Amino acid sequence: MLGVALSLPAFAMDDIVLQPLELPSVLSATRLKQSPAEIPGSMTVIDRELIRASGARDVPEILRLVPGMMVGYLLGHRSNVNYHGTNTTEARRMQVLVDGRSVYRPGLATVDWTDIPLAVEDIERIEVFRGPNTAAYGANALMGVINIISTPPELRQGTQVRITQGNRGVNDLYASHGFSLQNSVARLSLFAKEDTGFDFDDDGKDYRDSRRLNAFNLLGETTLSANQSLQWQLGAKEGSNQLENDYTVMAEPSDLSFRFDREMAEHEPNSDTTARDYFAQLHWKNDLSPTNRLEVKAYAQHMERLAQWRACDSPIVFSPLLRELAELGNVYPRRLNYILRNRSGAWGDPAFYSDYLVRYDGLPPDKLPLVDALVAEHQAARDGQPACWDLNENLRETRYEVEVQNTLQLSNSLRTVLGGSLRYDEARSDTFFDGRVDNQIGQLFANFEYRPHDRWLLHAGAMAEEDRLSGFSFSPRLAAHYFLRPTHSLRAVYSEAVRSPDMYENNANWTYTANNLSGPVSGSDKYYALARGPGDLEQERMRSRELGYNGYFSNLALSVDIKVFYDEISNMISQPLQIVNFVPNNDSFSRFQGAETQLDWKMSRRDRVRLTYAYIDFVATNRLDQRLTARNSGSAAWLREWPAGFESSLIYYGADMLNERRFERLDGRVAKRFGSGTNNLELALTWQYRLDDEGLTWPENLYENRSHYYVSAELDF
Amino acid sequence: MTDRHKECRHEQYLGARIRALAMRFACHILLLWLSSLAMYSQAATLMVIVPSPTALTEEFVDELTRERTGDKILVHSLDTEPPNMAVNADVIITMGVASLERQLAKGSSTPVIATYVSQSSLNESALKELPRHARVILANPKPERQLRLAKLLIPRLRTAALLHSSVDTDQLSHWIRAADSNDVKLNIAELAAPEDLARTLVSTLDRSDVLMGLDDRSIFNADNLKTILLTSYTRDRVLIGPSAPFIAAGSLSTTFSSPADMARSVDYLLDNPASDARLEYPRFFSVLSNQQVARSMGFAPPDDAALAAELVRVEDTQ
Repeated sequence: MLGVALSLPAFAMDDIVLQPLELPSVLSATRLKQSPAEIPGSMTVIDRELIRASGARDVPEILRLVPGMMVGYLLGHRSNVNYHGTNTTEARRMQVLVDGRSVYRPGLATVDWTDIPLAVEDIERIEVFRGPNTAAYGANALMGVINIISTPPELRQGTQVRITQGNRGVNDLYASHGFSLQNSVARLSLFAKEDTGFDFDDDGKDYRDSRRLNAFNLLGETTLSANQSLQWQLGAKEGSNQLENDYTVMAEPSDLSFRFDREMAEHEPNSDTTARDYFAQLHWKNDLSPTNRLEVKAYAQHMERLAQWRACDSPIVFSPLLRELAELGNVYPRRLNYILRNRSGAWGDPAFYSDYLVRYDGLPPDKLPLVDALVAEHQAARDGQPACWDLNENLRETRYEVEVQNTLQLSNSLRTVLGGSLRYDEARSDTFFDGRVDNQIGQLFANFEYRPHDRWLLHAGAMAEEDRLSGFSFSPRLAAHYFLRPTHSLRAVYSEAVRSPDMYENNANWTYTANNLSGPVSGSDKYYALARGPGDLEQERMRSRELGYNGYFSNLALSVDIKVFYDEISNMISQPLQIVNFVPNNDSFSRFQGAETQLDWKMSRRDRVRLTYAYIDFVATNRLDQRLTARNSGSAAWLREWPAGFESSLIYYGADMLNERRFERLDGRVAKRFGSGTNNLELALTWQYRLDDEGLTWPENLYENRSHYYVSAELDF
Repeated sequence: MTDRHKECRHEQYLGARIRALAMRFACHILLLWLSSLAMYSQAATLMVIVPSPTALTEEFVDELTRERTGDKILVHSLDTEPPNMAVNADVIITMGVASLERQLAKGSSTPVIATYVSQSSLNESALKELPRHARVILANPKPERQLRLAKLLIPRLRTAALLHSSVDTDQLSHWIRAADSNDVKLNIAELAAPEDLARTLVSTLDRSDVLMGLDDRSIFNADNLKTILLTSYTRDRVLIGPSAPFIAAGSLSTTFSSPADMARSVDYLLDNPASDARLEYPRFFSVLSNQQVARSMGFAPPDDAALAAELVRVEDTQ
């Protein structure tokens, strides 16, 4: 036998064909994603091809491709992304996750898009769940969830270097390198970004809103065993976001014959913010069996926004009289500001303001002497120096979260996702919180997907959440799909969702501590204004009803999604976060109804056409929630691959009244690739051309030129 | 006879090396075959040589017995009987490459039909050339069928990624011809080093609509499977093939020959030895798909029987 075996060396390897081949179930039931026709809601997926074709340098610009998404800018580096609407300057009602880590800031309920240590080049796709999804993602997934997913490191082996230069000060660098070590693969990215933001404001004044940042991101995946893997990621970002003096002056200079006014006019500090973000996260996946998957996710995240400058104002801001007046009502200090600068030429007249304050603002007449005394006090100080002190708006936010999730395919027709999480949030700021505020949140969630019949799919899910600061909440969701054909479904979805008030809304304790105070201040150095959160705000509540259709025509390679919706938010907190006149409550209400569609058609091997459109009708009781929503908005994109390594894209974005002004832009991108396979060079030109002449989001957000262009060179090897 | 001579001149797909050989000898051999097989058209003794009895070999023999009711079927297992035992049969049917090698090593001139031999196992075996009396029904799926199946599942398919490692130019040239005849552009990438798998795959997949699995064990094996499937899945591409066991793991669909298909293919060859090809693909086959993967990727649930019937219809009209 031995002799034969030796003479026939192939015997040993015989017959893979004959032996049953043992292969692991890689795309197991628990790993597979839901097909678009089975999702309990509306989803937009922006894939890599689209991200590239958009030429976007930042995520918010990519999100313009999502129907119903309202993208606006407060400053060049401060973009706000809202789904359907509500407040223009803040984005409190959407959850944003990067590889499962929430980058929604706990302290100020917003997302600093520019400060996330994530390069657009590293994004594999962005999944946007359009509609409430508290049942799966917890509070703050009130109006939608944006899920940003990094390209797995395995797919990013090799080295990539990319340089981008353009007008508006665009100067970006990106470099990444993928490598493997034993049973791990990893990708390290380093990147830097710079631009000058808007050019000038509506007074023609130079706009101080440049940004500069450096960041790194390391993403790795370690295979622990055939069934277990560990994804690990860490990153940091350091940068500077420019901002003009953010201090609201009580007594603005109005007459340069006074020393106070002259010195105030010359005092031009800036409130540039140093922004640093750090995070580390682990994601352990264990396939206990092809039908049972256990995942544990944990992360730590720290964000710092540091801004310090020297503020100057009238000494009366430290006057006990002004504090007394402010306590009578937030409106009175604002009126005093009118009086001191003689607003409209009328407010300087004691007869006018006395009458107005009593008659229209409800100031008790016996308190009028307070106002007169303060006016006199300021007048007396006007020949001297202003009061100046060191002010900071430093804020440090920290978050830790652990989540356990079990996906179980109980049978061919029943799948469940169960899990729970614990989260700890802390915000530290002497100015905003007089120290520190923290919060603990516990969550339990369950989602069931049941297919009783080929034509029916039912979903039921719920999240129970205990938030130490805002209490208990329960958010259910029910959805039913009826399949017209296997890839064509009609859906009906009902969901409830909540948003917990953020720490600022509920727990603010914002006043300025006067360090290194100089000038003619006697007695108290306690600043007059204090914005205090009421501490008893309730959660905002959303009720959403949706009917939709999702279909994929495989013969045409055409996918279509249409939805009509009726969403109501009650208990809304709409007040802006500010130091004066800060009286948050749960009194606002909004309703959104309308229809949205998206269509993605791979017309041919070389052409792809994509259209989105949203029609939104809304009611909002708070004035601040009435501006943002565009009634009609959408996008149209055409991507084409040409011979000889050329590719082009043309994208139109339009909104009729986005924050009360028209927005229309045409973006073009042309790229040429040299080389093939894993060694190549790509040169690309992106050109954005505004078709309207409005400021971007706000009238003061102006550019010199309607055209924004940048070229990039990318080398892969 | 003239028809058969015409067929002799008709160029079939074949590995380049074997084709050249076959062209030279085909017509002579065919006459030999015909004369020998003609004798057995009434009742013949068929000897099935298996490396060791397994459920699969038993099923194959059962199916063959069902197909060849008039013939006597013997089974010879290599692990229980002496390798050089005299075999007295009219046609030897071997299962697996080892059985084939053993049989050929004897120097017997009894006609041999080899089954359960893949192109790659043949290339890796000690068999440099097949003798005239041997026919191989390949176990790996026929490239044309795989590409047609892919086109049935993805009607808009234009380009397919093909990843190969070895210098198996025969198989590659067969794929190229199959792609040409199906109007599919192939993006062929050679995997230079095992650690380049993901990178090579990504750059090829990004230019392709589908990944075709090749009979190439150095790429399509249990160790690489996770990378291949997860990478394709991440990039919204599906894998077709390379063989039936890959379907449960996450490949979308493949053609394959079940023991019954293989028995019918042997039966057909015994009755219709007209082809001049030394290597051929099974005439009968089935389709196997992963329904869950199809659903997750937004495909209509594949109807395997209908897909197989459609592939047969296309082959019959050609």
